[in-house]
Amino acid sequence: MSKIIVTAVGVSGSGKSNAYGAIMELLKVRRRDSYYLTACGATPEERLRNSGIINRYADINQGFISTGTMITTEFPFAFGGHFRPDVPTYPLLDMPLIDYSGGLLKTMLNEESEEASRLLHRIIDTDVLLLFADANILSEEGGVEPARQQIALEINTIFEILSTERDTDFVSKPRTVLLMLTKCDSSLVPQTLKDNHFHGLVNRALQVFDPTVRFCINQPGWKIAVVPTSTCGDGNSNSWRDNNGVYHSEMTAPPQPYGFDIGILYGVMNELENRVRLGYDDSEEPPEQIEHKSGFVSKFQWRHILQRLAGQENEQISLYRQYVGNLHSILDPLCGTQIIEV
Amino acid sequence: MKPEIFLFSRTPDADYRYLFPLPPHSDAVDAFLQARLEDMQRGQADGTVHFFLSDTDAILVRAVNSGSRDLYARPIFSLEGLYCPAADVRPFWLCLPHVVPGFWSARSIYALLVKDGQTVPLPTTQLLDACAQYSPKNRHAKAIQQAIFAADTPVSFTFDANGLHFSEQPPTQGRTRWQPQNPRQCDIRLTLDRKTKTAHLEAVSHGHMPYPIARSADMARDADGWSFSELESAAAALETELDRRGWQYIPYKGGNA
Repeated sequence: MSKIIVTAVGVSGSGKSNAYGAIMELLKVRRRDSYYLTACGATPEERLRNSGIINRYADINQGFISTGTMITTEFPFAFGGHFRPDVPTYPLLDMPLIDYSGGLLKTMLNEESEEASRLLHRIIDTDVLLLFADANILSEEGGVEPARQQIALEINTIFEILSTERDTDFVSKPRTVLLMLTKCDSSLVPQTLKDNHFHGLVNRALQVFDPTVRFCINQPGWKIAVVPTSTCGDGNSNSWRDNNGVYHSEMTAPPQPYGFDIGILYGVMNELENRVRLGYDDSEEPPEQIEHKSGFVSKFQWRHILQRLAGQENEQISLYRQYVGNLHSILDPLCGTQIIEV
Repeated sequence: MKPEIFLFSRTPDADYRYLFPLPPHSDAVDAFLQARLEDMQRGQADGTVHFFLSDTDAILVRAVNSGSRDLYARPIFSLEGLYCPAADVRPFWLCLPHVVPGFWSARSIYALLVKDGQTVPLPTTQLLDACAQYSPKNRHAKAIQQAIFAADTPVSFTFDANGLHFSEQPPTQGRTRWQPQNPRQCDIRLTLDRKTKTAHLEAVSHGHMPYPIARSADMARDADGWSFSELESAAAALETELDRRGWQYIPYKGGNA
């Protein structure tokens, strides 16, 4: 099956692991808008095994994932939808998600590590990047610079390095970058920042991640959007900061996560749209009757031209087209309020 | 003996990693520690002490809440223990009864090894001494002592509030099954029965109060008496049987035995 790579990038404590819990809750348990995540695998046995792996980590109703992440875990997910009777209900894409300890980003900048280099290569290969920004830290009184030091330094540096690399796939492929503002329900975020669909907070996040955001805007074909999210849901948690600057939080009601599913669906929508537009699908390589000469058009475009000339469309591509249409109908009304395109 | 301290944990500033790295170790140990890390990730950090023995090395390890918290007030867990290379497994095994109960009941060694976000080296002997001093004198401590000293070779085990659990029964054959130093001595008696015209050989213990040990089958009498070769083969079979059971036939040499 073809694959879509979604990678979360965030420093330690920015909420990645809890975000995975919320994504599973929203897309695996509650299945908003007929889109779902399930275990992937070639055979039923493998799917059952993978489902066991996922369930071991996924029980969001146990509350916060209250300890830091110690080991890297890959969740073998597949993504699908059943929004129309004529669209097959089996999963459309493999969507492996990966959870790791956020300290890896710091490691990546300072020392040589096999794990960190694996993560870097995953970031280079990724289709949808989720950048995590902690709303508590964004709304600290110090303003932009301290927050940038705390949560954005590593991410900005990684983007700076990858964008100036000469022969890399990183910039040559259209990608979607989502800035996830986590912990938006926190009572530590002042009302002025929360007003008007988190207008103030979104602006601040764009300033904090300024080099990254500017890079994404300038890349042709890239999209960047900001999504306010929360694992607990508004009013379900209690947060405070003690004299030493340590953030405490506790859940006071069953979690009502929001935002994460929208982020994932938006990322999938853009990626599928790119695949339809450029006519590629990584599941199988279509035979190329006429040899591609480098220099004029990219390989993607060339394949697309060939398919157009032949007057046929890959079955998978036509499925992508249907998904994109339906996802637009769901997500377009949310733009500007729940998802802010930059 | 040179076991080395290792610690997988985090400081408030830097994320989870080996603060005290393991020396070069075997794949089996690596896989075992990975399983412990997965348990710890799932929140199983009750301090159960694991002694894991691979073909080439051994570790003593436990996952425990260190008592510290990071910048988001999340508890810091610590996977801590001692690594022992192959050459020192035997002495390490013999000092475990003194170390394990104390290691189990003591608080995390994180506080000793990490101060103000910096790692502080600690001599292994100091840790072993502290654990030995901290060992409670209860029945679990006594039981682990007896079990470990009774075992012929090291075996993997876990130690928790319910005491010691071996992964497999440790080999203690030398002590549980009685093996005589010298074969016991016995006589063989030939009995000829005139009424039934049969003969048999019987082995009895040597001494004042002989008791029967083994007996051959009855042999019938031929026309001209019992055949000598048949008696010989019956005696040889009986001696083999006696040998298997740890007895030795002493031929009677006359006189008052």
